[in-house]
Amino acid sequence: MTKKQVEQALASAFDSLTPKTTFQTLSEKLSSAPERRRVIMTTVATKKKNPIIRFVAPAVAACLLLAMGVAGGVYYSEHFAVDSVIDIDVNPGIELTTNKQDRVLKATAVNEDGNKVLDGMDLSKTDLQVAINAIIGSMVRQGYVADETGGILVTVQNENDAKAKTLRNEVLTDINTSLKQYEVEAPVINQTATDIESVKSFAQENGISVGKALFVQKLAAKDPSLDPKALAKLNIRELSQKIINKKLDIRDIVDYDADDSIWENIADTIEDANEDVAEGGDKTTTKPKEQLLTAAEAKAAALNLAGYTENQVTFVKVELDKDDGIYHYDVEFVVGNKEFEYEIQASTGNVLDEDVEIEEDDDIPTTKKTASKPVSKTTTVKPTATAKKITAAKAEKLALAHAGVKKADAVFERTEFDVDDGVAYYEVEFRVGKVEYSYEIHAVTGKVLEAEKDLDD
Amino acid sequence: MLLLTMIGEEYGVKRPIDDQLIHQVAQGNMEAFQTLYESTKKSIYGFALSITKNTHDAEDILQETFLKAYAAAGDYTGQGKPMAWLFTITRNLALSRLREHRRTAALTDAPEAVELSSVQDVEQRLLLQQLLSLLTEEEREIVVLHVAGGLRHREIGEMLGLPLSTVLSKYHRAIKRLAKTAKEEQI
Repeated sequence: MTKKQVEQALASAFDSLTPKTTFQTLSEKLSSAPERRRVIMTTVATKKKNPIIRFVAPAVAACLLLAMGVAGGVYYSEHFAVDSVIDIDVNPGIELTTNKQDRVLKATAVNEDGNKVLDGMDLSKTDLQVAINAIIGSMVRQGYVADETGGILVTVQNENDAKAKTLRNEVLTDINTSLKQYEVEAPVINQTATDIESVKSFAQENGISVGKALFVQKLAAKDPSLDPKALAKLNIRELSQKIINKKLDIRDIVDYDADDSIWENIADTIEDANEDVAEGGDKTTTKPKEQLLTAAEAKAAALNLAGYTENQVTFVKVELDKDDGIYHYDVEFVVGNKEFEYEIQASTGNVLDEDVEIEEDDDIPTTKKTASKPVSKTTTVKPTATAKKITAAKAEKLALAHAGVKKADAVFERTEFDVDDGVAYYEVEFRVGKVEYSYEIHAVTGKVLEAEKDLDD
Repeated sequence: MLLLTMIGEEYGVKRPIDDQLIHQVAQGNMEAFQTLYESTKKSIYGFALSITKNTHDAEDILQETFLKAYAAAGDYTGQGKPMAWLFTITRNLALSRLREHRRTAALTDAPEAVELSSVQDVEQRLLLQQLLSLLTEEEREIVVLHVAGGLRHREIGEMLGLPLSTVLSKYHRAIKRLAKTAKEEQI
C-alpha cells in the first residue's frame, strides 16, 4: 500500500467506527447531572480572550513564550488588581494571577490533575518564584514532568507587551531553575519564529505558494550561488534537479522519506507547510543549531558512522532520550538483515554507543520488536571521540583478515560495540561452515585483543 | 431554520464546526449541541479508542467529553480551534482513565483485543488493528488526530507540545510503518 492509500483506508476505517451513544442518551445524562456541571464549572478557570499558547517541554525542544495584550483589565487597587494572568496548563492545569508587583494573588487548578498538583497549597501572596518552584516541585514529585508526551504549557497574559515579555523571561528562568533543582534536565531552546510575514510577501511577489516560498528561501540559504527569486520560478522537478546537481543536503529542511523520490519529498514538505500556513498568521520555527542537534543531524551522523546514505536504509527510530541526565538521540535503522543502533549525544554530536545486529533470516523491523534486544546496553555511557573510533564494518574486516577468511565465506552473527574496564572494543562473531570465530577488536587501534575459534559439532 | 441546523449527512448540508457553534452551545442551544455531537462523535470516539484501546472506555469518554464540553463551552475562548479544544478534553479524560487503569490493573492482565467488527472492510479493519498494536502511544495520537480528526500537523504539535517537525516525522514514519506491514500481510 502507498502512504496515501493507508491514510485513506484509515480515514474510512474510523468513519465506520460508529459509537453506540445516541444524542438522546447524551441529553438524558445532561439533564440528570446538574451537580456535575456545577463542579466542572468551578474548576475551570476563566480564560481571557485570545491567550497565546506556548510550550515549555521539559524533556525536549521548544519553549516559546509569547504574551498578548488583554483587552480590558480589571481595576482594583495597586495590590489587588489582577495585572497578569499566567496559565500553566494542559495535564495538569494551573492558573496564577499576579499583581503589579508580580506577587501571586491566587492559584487555581484548571483540571483534576491541577488540583492534585496544588494539593491544598495556598500560594496566594507568595512570590512568583516561590510559587512556581512549589508547583514544579509538586509536578515532579507526582510524576507529571516525567511524562514526555505531555509538556508544560505556559501562557502569559498582560495588557502591556513589554511587561509581558519581561514576565515571560522571569517565568522561564524560574521554571528552569526549579527543574534543575529537581534534577530534571530541561534544555530550553528558544525557537525563534521566522518572520512569516516576509515569507508571505516574498510568495506574493513571486507568484508562488507560501510553502514553496519557505522551501525556496531555506534552499537558497544553503548555497551563495542560489538566488531565491530564480529558484521561485522553477517547478518542483527542476528544483530537485538543481539540488542533485549542486549536491545539496536538504534533509534538514525536508522531512525525508526514503520511499519517495526527491521531488515527492519536496512536494510533501511544501504541501505540509502550505497546509499549516493556510490557517493564517502562524509562525514556522527554526532551531538555532548551536544548542541541540536536530533529529535530522543525528540521523546524518549515524548514517555517516555506519557508512550508508539515507536511501539505502530504513529508519526504525529517531528519538530524543535521556540517560543519567544526558540527552541523546536513539537512532535505529535497518539495512537488509543488519540492524544499526546508535546513541548520539544531543549537545555535542558525539557517539555514545553503537550497536550492530545481524539477523539470520530476512526479518524486517516490525517483527524485531519481539526479538531479543542487543546486550550492549549494560555498558556505561562514555563519550567516545567519533574521529578516532573505527567503524563496525572496519572491525569486521579486521577480524576476517586475521582469521584469513573471505567475507563471502563468512556468515556474520554479531558485531557489538562494548566497553570493559575503560577499553572500547568491538565483539565480532561469524561462522564459516561449522567453525565459529569470535573476536575482540580494539575500537580505536583496530588491534585484535582476543581471537577464538570453535568447531561446532 | 431547523432544517439547516440538522445533521449534515442526512440533509446534505454540512454545518461547519466553528467558534460560533461552540458559543451557541454555551448559550444552551440544544440544536447546536446536537449538531456538534453528530458531526464530531466519530472522530472523538475514534480518538478516545486509539488511546484507551477499549470500546467500553471509549464510549464513556465520548459521553464525558461532550458533557464536559457542554459545561465548559462558556470558557471556550474562540480562537478558531474548536476541534483542538474538543480533542484536548477527550485526551485529558482518556489519559486520566488510562492512569487509573494502570494503577488498579494486575501486572498479569492480558490486553484485550479491541472490538472492531463495525469496520466491515477487512483491509481497513486490519489496518486499524495494526495502528492500535504497532504504533506507539504518541504516534497513534498524531495519526488519528490528523487522519480521523482532521487536525493539521501544527495544531497537533500545539496540542501535544511537540514542534512541527517532530509531528511531521513521527506521522510519516508511522504511516510508512503501517504501509510496510500492510504490504507484508498480503501474500
